[in-house]
Amino acid sequence: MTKKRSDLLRGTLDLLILKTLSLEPMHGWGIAQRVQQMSQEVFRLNQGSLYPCLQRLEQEGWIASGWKETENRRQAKYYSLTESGRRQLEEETLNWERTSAAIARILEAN
Amino acid sequence: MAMMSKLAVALRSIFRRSRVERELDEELRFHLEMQTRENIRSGMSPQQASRRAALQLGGVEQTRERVREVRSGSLLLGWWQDFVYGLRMLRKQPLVTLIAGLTLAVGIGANSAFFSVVDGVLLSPLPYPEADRIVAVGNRWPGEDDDFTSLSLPEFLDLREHSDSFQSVAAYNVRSYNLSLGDAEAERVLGSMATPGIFGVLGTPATLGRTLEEGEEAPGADKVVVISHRLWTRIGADRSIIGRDLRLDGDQFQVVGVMPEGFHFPRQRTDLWLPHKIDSSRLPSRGSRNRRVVARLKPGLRLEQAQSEIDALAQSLSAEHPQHYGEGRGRGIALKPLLERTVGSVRQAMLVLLGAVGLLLLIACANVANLLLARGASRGPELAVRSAMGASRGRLVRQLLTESFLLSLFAGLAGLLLAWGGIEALRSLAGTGIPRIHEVDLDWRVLAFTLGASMATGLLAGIAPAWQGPRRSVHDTLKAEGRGQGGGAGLGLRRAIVVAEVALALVLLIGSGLLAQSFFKVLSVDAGLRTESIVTARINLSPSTYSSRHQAVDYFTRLAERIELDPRVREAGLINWLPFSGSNEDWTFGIEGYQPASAADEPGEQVRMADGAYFRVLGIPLLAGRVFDDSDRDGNPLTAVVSQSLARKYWGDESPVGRRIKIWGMNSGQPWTTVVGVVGDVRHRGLATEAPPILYFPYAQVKQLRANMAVVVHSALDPAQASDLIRREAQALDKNQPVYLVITMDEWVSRSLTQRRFNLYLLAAFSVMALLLALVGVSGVIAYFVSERTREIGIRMALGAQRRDILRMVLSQSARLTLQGAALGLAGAFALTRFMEGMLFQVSATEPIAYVGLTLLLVAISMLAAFVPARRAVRVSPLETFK
Repeated sequence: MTKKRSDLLRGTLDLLILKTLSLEPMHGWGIAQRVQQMSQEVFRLNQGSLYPCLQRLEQEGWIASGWKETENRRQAKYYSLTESGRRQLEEETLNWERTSAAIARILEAN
Repeated sequence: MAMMSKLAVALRSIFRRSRVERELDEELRFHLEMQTRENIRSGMSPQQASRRAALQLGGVEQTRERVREVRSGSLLLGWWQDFVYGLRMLRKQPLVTLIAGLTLAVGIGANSAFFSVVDGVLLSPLPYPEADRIVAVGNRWPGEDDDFTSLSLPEFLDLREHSDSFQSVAAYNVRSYNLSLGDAEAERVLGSMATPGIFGVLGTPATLGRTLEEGEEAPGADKVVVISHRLWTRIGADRSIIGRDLRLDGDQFQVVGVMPEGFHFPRQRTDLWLPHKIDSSRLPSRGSRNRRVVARLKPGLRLEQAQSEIDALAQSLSAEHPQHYGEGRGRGIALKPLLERTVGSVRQAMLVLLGAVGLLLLIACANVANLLLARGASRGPELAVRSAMGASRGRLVRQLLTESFLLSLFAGLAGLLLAWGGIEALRSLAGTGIPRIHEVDLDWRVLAFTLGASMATGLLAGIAPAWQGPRRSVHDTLKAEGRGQGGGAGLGLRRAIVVAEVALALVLLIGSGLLAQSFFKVLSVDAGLRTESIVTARINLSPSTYSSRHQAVDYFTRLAERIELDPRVREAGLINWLPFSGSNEDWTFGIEGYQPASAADEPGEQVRMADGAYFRVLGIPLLAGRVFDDSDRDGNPLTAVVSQSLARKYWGDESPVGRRIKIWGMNSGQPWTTVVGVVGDVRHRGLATEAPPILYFPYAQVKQLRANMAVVVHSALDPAQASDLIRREAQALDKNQPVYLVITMDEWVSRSLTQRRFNLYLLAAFSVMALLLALVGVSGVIAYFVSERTREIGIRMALGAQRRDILRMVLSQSARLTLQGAALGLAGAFALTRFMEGMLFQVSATEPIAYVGLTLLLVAISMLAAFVPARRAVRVSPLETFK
């Protein structure tokens, strides 16, 4: 299943979810929407892989979940960033910046 | 923190599983709702919108399975799910589970039981502190078969005084004492006379009182004794025993100590330890080697270091006493770990049997793997559907492996029960033939072994089915299922497994065949004596009551006479060391007209003291001259009888009758002894060992008689009656002299075969089990073959094939399997049986009879096993198969 995706991609989805949740707690569908919007539709998020990913992040202890009412007065499962999730996000962001800068340098080289 | 939350999630998933599932459903439903609404907003019809939403998610069921997989990726939860699911699957097919479980239980049980024997006998250290530092010390003479012999007292003193390697060293012997308690009949207890250092060597202090002390080996010291915990318990477990007297052999000995419970040395049933007296002014001869010696190495000293120091010492001693060690005879002093000395004789057989029982477990695994493969075929659709629903291959493999692990763990538990009973059986089968067998027990090491064996078994039996199971695509599987067939995958693998089973079973069969052949060869050996209708008994007269030789001779003569008064008794004879009893005695002697090169080359042979009736009772043939009679007594010329091999060894073809010998050698100053007769050889050391040359002296005449003799009675009485008679007459003569080892001559022979029987019975049992398992395997694969070909068989029959042809088709399948297995097995046996050469007797490891005979047997039986499913093939009705 997930093993077919490269670690980079998997890590990317993690990063996007963590980033999204760092703004405010959100339910699964909302996360999917937000990621698509924020990336200006560059990422066509495969919604099916979102939920296993959330499950994994929760098991890692980076996010927590709870049931809350939505604006439409409907019960939904909301995810929020935990303290260790925040640290993970910082670390991942740093990592990402370093990696993308390196890749950019290589691509720009003549 | 992360650990805790993982655990929390996992635990929640386990214990609130339905709730977690419900929540997931709810979450996904919410997602679909939102997405549908979004889709409608972008202009789709409600129907279209909701279908689109499901597609965008990538399938509800698939998503659910993928989340579950992540969840169970947390190890604890995954195993728990597999465990619960596995249990359910095992319960669903109780018959398969039962058969597979029993098969593994027998395999594991046999292994655990036998491992406990190997562990107790070979592996676990002797029950003394730092037992690896304890060594046995013996003389080594190059070129002699038993290259580890006892030391003489002077040789022991050399070691004690001059060696630097030992923290402590002690000499000891084994003997029995007559213990009298109050007015009761005296009983015989085993004791050991040991120099006081023995307790230092064994590193064990007394639990009550003290052990022996240095000064107590002096000739004039107080008579003291240390007793075992067992004896102490038997005589009342009174803590005030210390300082009280015990009556041994008619003498008073003061009890100074009680050893802790479970302490035993040198025998398991040794109850007494008395100081070995050493009178330095009257040391026995350097050549009279009858003391066993043990030592404790200094801390940190390795055996090789000690050995090289002892080598140097032995060399200088040889130079110092050339008359005893001879120039160039290469006498050395050898050190051996005490454990090796104790169990070295059975090591090879134990390892061979351990290998055999391991093969048995392999066959059991193969059988179960086969069974699970067959079940795997019927579970194909289930697995295929789960796989289609998104379960990964690894996930399914793990599921299947969990099932076989579960199965093998249950089997391990059952096997432990079997082992528990099996150990008892092994102990009684081993009798006294296997050293340390009483130390064998189910301990934590055996438990650990069983657990390990169960895990390995689960893996072995499960790996093939787990690999095979999820391999086929859902398409193929469901298509095949629709046709009512299990699909063809796996038959090749199953056949390979059965071929291996047959091969392994044949290896075991041939091994036990060779042992059986050896056993019968041993049984058919002519021991040189009659064993039927003979009861023997041993009496050890107390030296204080029978202080002179004449009193002892008088006692035994009268005992034989009294026993012979019973009309049903043919004759009663006397001898000091019985054949097969393991006891013997070596003396040196000189032969008139035979000049040895040096004193060390003086002949030394086994001696026995007997009366004339002994030879008649045991049917030992008189070949020349006469046996002893009443004239061979004090005052008359000294006489001896020699065995045929001794006569041939020293006098060649000439008759020894009338020739003269001198006890202790030509320069001993002893009077001449005249050979008066030659008798047949007797295999004193056991049926499988060549008869030793033996010198017999008349017990009524020889001065060295010790008051420890056996009476042999040939009668028409049954053994119990004869035993009673001997006991009754002995008690009537003197109730303070206990009679012991009252057993028939047949029993002596049987006891001498204990080890051989142990090996044979065990290997035979293992190979019969292996054969049965292999037959089940063959039969199963053929049944599978038949069920797969039902349609083909139907077509063939419809086209006019005879039942005979069908039968031939099926049986040729089984023949191919069996013959392939047999060929492999023959090669395996050829390679492996040479490891058991030491266990064979007059049979070579490549003896064709066993190989050919057992191969034929195996092929015949396995064809029979294939016959049952083959008959089902013949009954196939062509019409049925087309419905």
